[in-house]
Amino acid sequence: MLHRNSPYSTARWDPFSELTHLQRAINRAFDSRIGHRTAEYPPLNVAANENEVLVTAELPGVDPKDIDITVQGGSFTLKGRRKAEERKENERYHRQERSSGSFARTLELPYNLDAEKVQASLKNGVLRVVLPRAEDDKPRKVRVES
Amino acid sequence: MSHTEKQVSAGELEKTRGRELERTRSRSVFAPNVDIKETGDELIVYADIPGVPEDRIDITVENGVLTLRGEVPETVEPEKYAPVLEEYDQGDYERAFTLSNEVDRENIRATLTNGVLVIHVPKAGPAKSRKIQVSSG
Repeated sequence: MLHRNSPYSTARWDPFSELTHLQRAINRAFDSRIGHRTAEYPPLNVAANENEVLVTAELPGVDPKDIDITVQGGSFTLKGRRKAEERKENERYHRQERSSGSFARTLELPYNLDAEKVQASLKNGVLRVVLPRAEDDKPRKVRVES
Repeated sequence: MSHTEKQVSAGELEKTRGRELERTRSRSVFAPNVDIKETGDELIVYADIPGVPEDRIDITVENGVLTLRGEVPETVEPEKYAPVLEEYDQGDYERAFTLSNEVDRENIRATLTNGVLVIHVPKAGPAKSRKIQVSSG
């Protein structure tokens, strides 16, 4: 990728390493659309730090009212629907590349989430969800006394 | 297809190629997905440009070419988060179409809703109703 030069990208223990694998399996199970392209929709970008996970998705043309987010334990589910544009009698389409319909994605995160503190916003067609890690599931530091 | 329909289809838009000028911003540029439809008196272009704020959209009509550009500011603070999974690449948008109908450049309107740019391109007066008579002989 051209523009992401993260200092974290190499030689770092990654609790999410299983995520990509798992992700595919989950989406296959959830994806019941017929005749749709095989790639999961919407594509998700996930970033994290010690305290929270940030999930972003591009959802152009989706009304915030049609987005449904659920969090349970360590699992995050995004469901929604994109309405098709109205078609009228006297119109002719020259191009039709934008698709519509419902979608669902689920992410299994490696730790429990604090469902109460989840924040989601939709701005210019980009969904941004902050998923804080559950307080009682955070690792505790043990001081070594000398 | 009837004769009159054929005249209207002259208004079909085509993507232009061969723009080889380099951009000043070094990032990916995507051709946004579009729907283009034609009504009796206008062309309507719907473009999916998620992440582009209103003030970073640039629409031009020049020499019969409609160009739309949109810049996406970074949405994830790199100093705050480390990437874990990247299924999509972020970038700017650019796409251009040739307009073969005469258009009313002054009255082009655009709106942005939930990441979808809608451009209304009115047809110019004469092209709107012009019929070409085919004479025999």
